Amino acid sequence: MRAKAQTMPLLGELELAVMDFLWKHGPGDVRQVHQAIGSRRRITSNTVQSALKRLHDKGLTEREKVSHAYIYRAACSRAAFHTRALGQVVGELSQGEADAVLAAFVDIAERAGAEQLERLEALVAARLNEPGAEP
Amino acid sequence: MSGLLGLVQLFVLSAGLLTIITALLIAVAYRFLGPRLSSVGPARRARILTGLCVAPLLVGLLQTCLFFLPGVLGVIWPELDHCLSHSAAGHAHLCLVHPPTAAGAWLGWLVVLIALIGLGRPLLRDITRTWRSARLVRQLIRTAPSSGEDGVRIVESSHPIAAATAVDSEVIVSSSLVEALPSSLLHAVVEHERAHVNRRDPWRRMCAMLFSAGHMPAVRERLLADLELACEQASDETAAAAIGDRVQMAQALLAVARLLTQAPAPTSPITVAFGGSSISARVDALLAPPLVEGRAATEALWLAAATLFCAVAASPGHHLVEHFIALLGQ
Repeated sequence: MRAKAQTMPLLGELELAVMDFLWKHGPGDVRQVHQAIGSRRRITSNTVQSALKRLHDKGLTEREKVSHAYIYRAACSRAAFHTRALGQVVGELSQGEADAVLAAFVDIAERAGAEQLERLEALVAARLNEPGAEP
Repeated sequence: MSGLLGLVQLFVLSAGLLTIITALLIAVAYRFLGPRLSSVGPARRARILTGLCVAPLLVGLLQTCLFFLPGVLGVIWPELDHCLSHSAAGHAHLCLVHPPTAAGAWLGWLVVLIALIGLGRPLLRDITRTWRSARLVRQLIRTAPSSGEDGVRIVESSHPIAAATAVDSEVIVSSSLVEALPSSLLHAVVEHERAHVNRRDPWRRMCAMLFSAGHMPAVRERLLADLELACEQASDETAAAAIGDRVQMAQALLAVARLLTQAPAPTSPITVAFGGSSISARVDALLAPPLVEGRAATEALWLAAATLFCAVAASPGHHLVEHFIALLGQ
């Protein structure tokens, strides 16, 4: 597996569709990928080939030459891809850079102190123990 | 060409001047208004803060368009050419019929340059960051499997995160959060994020962030932080109403905050909040009786009054700005 430590590469719609195909169906050549997603989009196999090459250049696919054709496979699992992408989004949120596109449930950039959490948890527990409170 | 350049210079100077004046007025007013807003219901507070965030730039641009209105009318209907009421020469006119014969003095262009750099640079930086983050989030959404619930996607991650996105109005929940939270609390989290989506909060915050560039940095930071808290509290209230239990909503908040303290820290610096953090404010608000929300019609009335004021102020403001710009040319 080839992993890049740098920032997550940005992918276009076609590249995302190709990665989705490789994760779902495993390794494939240009013809197979084109049959699955290219025909529906009315794009040529050359366009699919370019997308596969770009993904290879970005370190997201690996390829092996079999006879005259390259067989492409995903260089990382879907889970690893998500972990990396979300890790970067979390990093950007913590610096306030992704605030405009994401509204996180709890502010990533602001970690509550232990004392503060204990105080708030005690308040909630007291409310739950009040007579008439639902269990 | 020089006439067109002169008009561009006048437009930028006028819009910049009005933006600065509005930003200064809001900065002064918010010192008194800010503390009072905490007693206003969160949904209404979010609407007011959105308005305050975008006001300087919007007032600057729209009021300047109004200033040019007499000139535009003069093109369509020459009898309405207001420049005939005073000397057509002598000072710079906010007018399409009598545009400045030469782009104003070098001092005017210097001010235009400073305004464009001062406003354009942070605006460009924010747009670039937002565009990049939006594409990253889209990558997550396009490749993440659905949770089975409409509009909710699960992403593999050890970060306990749930978020509403401006991209496709989807909610993303990390697998670690799904595993760690009991179903009742997870339901509360998802309802909160759905409330964000329904209230279009990510879009609201995107607009507020981009259009608040006309404010002074310290005021902008405070307004955006207050808006974020108002949006979170409004979604807390909506989610609490949906699950029918305000205390459970507070429990969900604290459970996620607790998980966050145990999660691996991002590489960037993290602020550790104490007394006055947003978690504290949100939990305290959920444990207190809900604040009464005002009607959106009240804000609509205020907006209509402000628009009327701008329209009435268009004529005197037009001449005032002309005289101010003339000062730059002397």
